[in-house]
Amino acid sequence: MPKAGLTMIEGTITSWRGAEGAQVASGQVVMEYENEKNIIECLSPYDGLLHIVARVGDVIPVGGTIGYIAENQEEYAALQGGAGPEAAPVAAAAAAPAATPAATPEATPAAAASLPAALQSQQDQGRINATGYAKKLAQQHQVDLRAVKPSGANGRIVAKDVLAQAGSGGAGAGTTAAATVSAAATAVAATPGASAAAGRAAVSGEPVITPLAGLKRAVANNMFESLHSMAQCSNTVEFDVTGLIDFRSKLLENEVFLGRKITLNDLLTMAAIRTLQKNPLLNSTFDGTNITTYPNINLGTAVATDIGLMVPVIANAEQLTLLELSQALREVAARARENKLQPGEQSRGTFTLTNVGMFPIDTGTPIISPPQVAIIGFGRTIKKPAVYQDQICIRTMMTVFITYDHRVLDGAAIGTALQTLQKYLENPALICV
Amino acid sequence: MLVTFAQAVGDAMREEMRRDDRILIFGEDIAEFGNIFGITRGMLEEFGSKRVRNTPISEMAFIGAAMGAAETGLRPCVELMYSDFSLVAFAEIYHCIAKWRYMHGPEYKLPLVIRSAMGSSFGATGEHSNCLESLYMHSPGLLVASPSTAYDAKGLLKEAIRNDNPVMFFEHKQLYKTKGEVPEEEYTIPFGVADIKREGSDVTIIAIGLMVGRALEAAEALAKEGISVEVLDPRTLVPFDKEAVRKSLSKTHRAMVVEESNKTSGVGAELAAMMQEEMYDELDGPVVRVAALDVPLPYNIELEKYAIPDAEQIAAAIRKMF
Repeated sequence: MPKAGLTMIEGTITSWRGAEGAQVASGQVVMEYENEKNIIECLSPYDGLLHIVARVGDVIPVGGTIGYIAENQEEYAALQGGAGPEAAPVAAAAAAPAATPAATPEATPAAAASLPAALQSQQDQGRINATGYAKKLAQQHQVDLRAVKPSGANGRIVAKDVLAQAGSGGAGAGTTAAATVSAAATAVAATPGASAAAGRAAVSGEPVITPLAGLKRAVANNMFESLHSMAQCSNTVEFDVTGLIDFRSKLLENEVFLGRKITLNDLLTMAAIRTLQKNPLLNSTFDGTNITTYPNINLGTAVATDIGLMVPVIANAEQLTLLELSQALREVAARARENKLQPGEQSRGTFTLTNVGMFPIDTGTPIISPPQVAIIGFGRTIKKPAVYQDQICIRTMMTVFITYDHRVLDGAAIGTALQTLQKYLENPALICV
Repeated sequence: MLVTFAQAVGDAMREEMRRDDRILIFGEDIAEFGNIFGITRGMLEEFGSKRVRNTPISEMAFIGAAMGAAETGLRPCVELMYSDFSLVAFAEIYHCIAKWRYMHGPEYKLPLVIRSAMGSSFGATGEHSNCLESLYMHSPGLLVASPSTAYDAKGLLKEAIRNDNPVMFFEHKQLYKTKGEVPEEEYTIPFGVADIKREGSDVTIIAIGLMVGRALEAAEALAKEGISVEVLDPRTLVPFDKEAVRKSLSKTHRAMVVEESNKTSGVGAELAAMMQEEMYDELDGPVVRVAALDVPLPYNIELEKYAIPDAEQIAAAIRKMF
């Protein structure tokens, strides 16, 4: 696993571009991986036959083995047979510069410092011509310099180019990757930049071109991949949450005693965790062959941030009490907004929730975060006339929507799960049991 | 009090000599004649021939004598008529004066000021018009001052005389007649503290000596075009006020150095290198140098004007930065 960026400690393999056993050439793109910032191409450092070890979705520490390049058929056959690798590991090449210091360590930017020669040359080809101050501003404003149009001498990017890009909503080289979430939440996350750009277009009368970069590009790829690779299907149901709201009011009255202000989102999240425990198939991943169902729930929650959508994961969420869960949710959301999530904090999720209740959104068809198999969304709560105990009266209603992979789950399984959820939402005391 | 640059320099010496009788001055034509610019006029009468002396036209000899006087407890403030003549005493200055405090230990002090008139002055030609700050910046051990106003000249010279280290003190010939406000009361200006002669937000000009005024002229013209120029006068080149430059660049992100010396290996070369090395992240483009052409300065006044930066050249170079 190559190291792209000073802070990278692990990378996720997003796709293999070379097939197992294929003849690959030095400099050819064999794999794409993502770190906390970007999706990056990995070039083969040698000519030879590709033997893949790490699979798509695997999170591999920097320097870890992802595959081998065999010099000839004999070597390849030996590798396939599990023999000790004589061939050059793709990743060992990545780690090599640590042992043999680069020829010009001072001249090499930190981000590229430990790249193998082939990757190094790729970086050189993509060298970005920008002033020192422009680079500093790009970092401050989270602007991807590759997306900036230069206006300085010799095609140099200067400060005002970066500021123009930042102002047009092109920011986003920030953090993370594995983000996938509801279409609704994505729209929300993208709104500030997009609307600013649209406003500008109206004034100048010219179209504004915003190259997709960084986090937003990673999210976009993930969304597209997800819809292309699964049989996604959505259901919607309206629940009466008047009781849940009352329950929360009681918890609020005891805020001082509890030491926390429990939010409606805390209760909804807890109800979802309990539902997953009773319907474990939803808490699975599917790789096309095997469905893996997990004993623990690593819960991803979608957070809209200035630089895009992030999905921090709370590990072993089923073990948390309501108070602990409330605290954990608040804490990861705050760090996501401050762009302070650690590498890996958005990976290894087993299920994802998205809550758009703060917006006038009733329902949606959220997109599943692969390789997970379902995602639940919560809409707004709203008072409306409803039938309650055979009377028409004002009740607080909320829509719950779920998208699932129909290869793994079907209407019956989802119906059962929604029944469970309804039980919890209409009898909130059960959540705490 | 409005006084000329020349008067301010003379006043600095007079005030210091009244304060401390170890201070003496000598040089060519400074006693009876009172210096070719009239700076030391009346000092022979006030301080007597022991403290105000003429010397033969032998720079190596009297600079060597000044060094000896400084080492043995006096505080000479000597005058080289033109900075060009310092080259006649170059070994004394570059080797001995600059290095002996390092080489012979802390018991040595070298409280010595070498003043000299420098720069172009209407056809004085290649041997009488040099700006040599960069030569002396290159020799560790020397302090180098190059003031641009009467106020700075007086405050810095008093500070130089009080300093226990050797100081090369350059006074531009064309500045001697310029007038500036100087307070009646006692003041000194510490070395290594730059002065912002004009505040601006778009580009920083670091200008030295005569060029400060020309940079200010250029700034005035550019202001009408909407370009806001900050003019930073380092006042002393050794020590150099890097923090002032950093502060200015963090606002303007563009830098130009204007000097009257030749461009190659000049003050601008050093400052540009320093900025790219230490302040790269503040720079939004190359540091631009505006300096004299790399030629011996011509006697023909029109050609001389052509060879040395003026306000128009400075302004044109700045326009190109945007």
